[in-house]
Amino acid sequence: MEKVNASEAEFQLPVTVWEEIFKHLNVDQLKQSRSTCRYWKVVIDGSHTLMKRFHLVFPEGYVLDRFIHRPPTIPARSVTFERCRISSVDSWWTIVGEKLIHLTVKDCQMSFPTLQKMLERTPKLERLDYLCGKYPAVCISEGVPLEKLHHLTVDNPCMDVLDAFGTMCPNLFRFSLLQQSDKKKVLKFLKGKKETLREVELTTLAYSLNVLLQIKGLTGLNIGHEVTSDEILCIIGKGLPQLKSIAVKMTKNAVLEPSFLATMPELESLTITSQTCRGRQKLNLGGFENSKLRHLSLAHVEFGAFDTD
Amino acid sequence: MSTIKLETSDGVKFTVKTQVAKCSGTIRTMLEDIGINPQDGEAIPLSNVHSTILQKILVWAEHHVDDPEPPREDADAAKRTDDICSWDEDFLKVDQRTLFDVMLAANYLDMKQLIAVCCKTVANMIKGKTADQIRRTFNIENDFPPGEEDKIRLRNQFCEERSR
Repeated sequence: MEKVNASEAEFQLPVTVWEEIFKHLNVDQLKQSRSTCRYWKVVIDGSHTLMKRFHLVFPEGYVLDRFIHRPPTIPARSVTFERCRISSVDSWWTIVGEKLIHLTVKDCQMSFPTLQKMLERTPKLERLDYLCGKYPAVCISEGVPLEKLHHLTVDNPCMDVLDAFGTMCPNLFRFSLLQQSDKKKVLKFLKGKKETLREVELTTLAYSLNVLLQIKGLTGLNIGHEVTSDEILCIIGKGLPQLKSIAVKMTKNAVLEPSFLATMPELESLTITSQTCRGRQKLNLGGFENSKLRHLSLAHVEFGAFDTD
Repeated sequence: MSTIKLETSDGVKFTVKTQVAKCSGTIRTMLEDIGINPQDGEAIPLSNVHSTILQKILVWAEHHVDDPEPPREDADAAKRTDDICSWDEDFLKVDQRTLFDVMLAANYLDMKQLIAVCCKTVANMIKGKTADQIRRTFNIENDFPPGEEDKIRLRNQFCEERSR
């Protein structure tokens, strides 16, 4: 009898107070709490704030097909499939998909149409990392638009996926392309997203510079392209004076003069890396003033404020 | 110094400094928005709060009346529970029933700081415990159908903390 009374006293607390209590717990503690009783499970699973902290990871080798038994239907807002085999998603995916914000598909054996079927049930998706660089996509068709998807990363040798993603992401804000092969497809995609793109990551500038310079809202640029001098950076700065963040690579023994910084008055973050640790790559910030620059990240690059002749 | 009268569910009347009573958002709203005039001498009825609990809450309010607004905490990660001041820690060394009654009343009275410190206290009672130990601590009945708990545990294994 006493047991019942005690429980009743606790459960008089409104859901908002319970949620506030649970906000003080990490995911491990939340997992224990949601296995305690039905009421706590309902409160935790029903809380957007708490479920945003859950990251559901399907382990390597996991097989998702028509015969899957008891899939983990936790309404986490972030889901990763890594090295899984996905041949079909059934009704259970809706439970996870309908609230999903971030989906990562990494090195999975899955057809592109299956991915598209999954995406049809993720109306709230904001971020997609499609990282299947070893599995060229085939059978690509247009997909349903995902209005909220604003952050897309693509790593796939088949550039036809860009056509599909072009229609699927009408409001793309941040775009990373980790493999670039078909020049035409890349340019078409970038041109199509000119109005909404703000941050772009590409492996090369070889043919895309002119298109990038037309994306007037661009504030962030990350390019794997190796720069030999500040010349190309000056061109970027003149075309995109509103840039807030830029990341580039330097070639061996290159020296960057500070002149390019004058073309980027809004720059807050500068990242320069070099893949070689043997040469003497230098960044010179001598005589440079009045910068909003707050974040400087260098790897294998010497930094100095020296005057050159 | 201006005072107001409060009347609890069991009919006990308290005379309280207005400033202290205003720690309660509910009372503040009554005085400021609805325009209840404390000078009339009429007591504000608090039909959801028992006198023993109100007495306790008034002690807390008296002590914290001059506290500044706390900084907002980011809810993307677990909030801190190690920042309960020692006075509050002693204040909340009560049996569970009283603790939950205080929370319930604080919620009704809309006293955000008191709720916050109670929530931290309850969270600390949950931390480091298994589901079984939590049930024992709070006298919670395991009301899952047979087999369900194992299923939940199995699914829990797929989850980790989201890195940002």
